[in-house]
Amino acid sequence: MKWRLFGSATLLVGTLVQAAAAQDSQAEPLSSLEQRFRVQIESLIDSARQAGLPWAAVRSKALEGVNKKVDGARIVAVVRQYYANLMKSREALGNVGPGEIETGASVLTAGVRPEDLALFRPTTAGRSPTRALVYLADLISAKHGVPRDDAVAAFAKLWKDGAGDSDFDGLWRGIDQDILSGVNPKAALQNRVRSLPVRSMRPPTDVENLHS
Amino acid sequence: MTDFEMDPIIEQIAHEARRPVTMDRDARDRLLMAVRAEPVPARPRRGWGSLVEPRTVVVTPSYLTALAAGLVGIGVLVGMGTKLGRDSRMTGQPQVVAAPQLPASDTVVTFVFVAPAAARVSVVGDFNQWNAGATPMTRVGNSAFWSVTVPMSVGRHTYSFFAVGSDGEKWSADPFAPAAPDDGFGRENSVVLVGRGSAL
Repeated sequence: MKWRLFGSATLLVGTLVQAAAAQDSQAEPLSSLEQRFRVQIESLIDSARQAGLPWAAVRSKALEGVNKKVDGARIVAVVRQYYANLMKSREALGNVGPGEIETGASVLTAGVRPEDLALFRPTTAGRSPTRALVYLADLISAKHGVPRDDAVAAFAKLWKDGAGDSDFDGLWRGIDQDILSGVNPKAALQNRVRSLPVRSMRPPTDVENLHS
Repeated sequence: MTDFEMDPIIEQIAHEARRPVTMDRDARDRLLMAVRAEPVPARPRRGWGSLVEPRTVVVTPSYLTALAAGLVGIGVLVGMGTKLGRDSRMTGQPQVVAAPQLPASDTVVTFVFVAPAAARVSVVGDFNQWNAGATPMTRVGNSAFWSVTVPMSVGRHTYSFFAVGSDGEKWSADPFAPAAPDDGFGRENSVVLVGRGSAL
């Protein structure tokens, strides 16, 4: 009788453990990676956490690869590059939040040089370069094809002169519209930058930021 | 002195009972042979056989209560084990990085995608851990439009559309949103900027 009970209990526990493992695999998609790749990814995530970098973004990049069914070696290479870009982004942008660091990393991925990214380092509290950098990355992408150096120079000058989010919103929409209409991307950038009103081109002070 | 010692009849019975019994030797041998001739009781089956042999089980309320308590206990232990296992994979220590909590929702964003021939479409991004099954879109009437409204936190989010049709699976960027740089995996993502009460 004791053996019967023991056998039944063993079977029950085995079934439960198997069910829990299956649930674990669903809850933790990284577990579908081969062990050697998963260890490297987890090591990078842990390093990012130790370094104070946005580790959730590192994990998200790995998950993106897993769910896009990319092979493990490729995922590790991409995540490692992304981790390096996060480091460079923080160095370039200084004391900014995780969102800005992630955006800076994506701009570096787009081909902007770290020294150019540093031109967008906030000099006043509460001012975020996220929107400007997102539009910059979009315009120099293959989708729009604006020459990188021209776009960086124009955006950096606007940023330095104090352009706000609404300025960059309008600029991006205008350039996008012009390019769709057949205007040359470089000309579209130059035309739209020239047409921006000069009135707002002054960096806001910390006091203004506090009240905005 | 007890009452028994005082009773002479009881004293006589006790004396007879103490007297050694002489037993016929043949009778003893017959008894032993009869015992040996009895079939040996079958040993209880072990292993798989004992688990599958038919048996009658009497279920009482107390038995059921004990069984339920046991199952709950095993479930709790297994749950604790898998949680510790999951957490400790990060650094090998119990206190490590946990799975990031889903950000609190600051606003909602409606995604729209045009895919006339698709059988299924979903929006996939960092806000749902790139899980292609997490945020399915619904076809708007009989049109080519698919849409879904998603609660999102303030900030920059990257995403892509995942469509399944007769020609297979396809990842597509949002043509109306800023492009994110190459995802590193050979596909393009899009960016949504979520502000308080607004999104681009």
